[in-house]
Amino acid sequence: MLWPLKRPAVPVKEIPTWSLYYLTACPTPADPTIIWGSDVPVAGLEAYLRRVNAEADVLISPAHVLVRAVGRCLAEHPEFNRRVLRRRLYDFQSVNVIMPMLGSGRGPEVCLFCDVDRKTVAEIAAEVWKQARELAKGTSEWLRYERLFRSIPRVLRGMAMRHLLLHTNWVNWPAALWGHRQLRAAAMINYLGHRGAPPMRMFKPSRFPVDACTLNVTMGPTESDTQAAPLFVRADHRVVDAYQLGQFVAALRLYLTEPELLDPAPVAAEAAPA
Amino acid sequence: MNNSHEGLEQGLLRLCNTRLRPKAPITAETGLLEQGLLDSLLVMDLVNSIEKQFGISIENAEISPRNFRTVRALAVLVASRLNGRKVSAELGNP
Repeated sequence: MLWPLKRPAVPVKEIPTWSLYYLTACPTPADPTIIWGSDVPVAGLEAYLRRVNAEADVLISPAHVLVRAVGRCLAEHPEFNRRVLRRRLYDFQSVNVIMPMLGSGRGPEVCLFCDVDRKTVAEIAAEVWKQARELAKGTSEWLRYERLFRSIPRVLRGMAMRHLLLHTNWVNWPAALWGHRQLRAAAMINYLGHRGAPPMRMFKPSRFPVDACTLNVTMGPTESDTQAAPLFVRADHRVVDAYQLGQFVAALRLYLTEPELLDPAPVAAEAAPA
Repeated sequence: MNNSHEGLEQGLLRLCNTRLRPKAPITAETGLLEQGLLDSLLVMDLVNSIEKQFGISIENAEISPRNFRTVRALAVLVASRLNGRKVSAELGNP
């Protein structure tokens, strides 16, 4: 066999959107990436979910607690809430995260959640359900970008994406002008603890070609033997060092082990007259 | 409980036993949240399946622990949406 590959190439319509994005946009990877793997005992998280779901008006899942915990950790460790731009580091104005969620289209879509350090778990849960429902119904504003991306002719797609990346990695675009979610958050969150997921020993999340996403936090399924869930945090070594990553993971692990710490203290009780 | 409500509950039981893949069959009173049978992906899957199967629309605010605690609670929610649709049709609304 002279040629190792079959022809023609796999049709674009069979390629998931984000795979197509990487395929057309990625340079050869040089990898200043550090990853810290740990695990989280889930007894405290499960007890917390039972308690809040007995009282709350909105259904709260581990993914919502994870978003809140990452928001709190980013606020406490602001050295992570920054990005590389023009080979310099800049702080973000607010604590935002992105999280992929399944929609009705081709593969998951990345959703943006803003000010997650200042919202309660219930407020975050309501926002997550709202965006998940919009994706499922096909009414999400982000689907417009997917349609636009797919509408670019194949011969121009690579050129267009490389041009876009040049702009997004070198120019500080106004958020209102440039609605790109990945440019507005320092952290991406993957919750992969869904039912039926196999045990997770290692997970290396892929990295967006844009330089904005400094951090990735991935939580996997609970191990039935140990009653602990794996936690992997990937950080950009151009932004933080390994000892800082260790501090971040320790704080995140604490909040996930004892999620009660995430809820604001009852101010009314403290201020109540004797 | 009338026949139509029982039929609705049976339909939801079939749906939950198919979509949630439980180790033991789910009954109308099985605690879906208590037993950790639901996660965020499955909730969305279940909501989308219910909307498609019963031709109703579930509001974001209705994705609450009260409505997803058991299949029976879910049946009450679906029945209320179906009744709402019927009343709406009788009033001549789309």
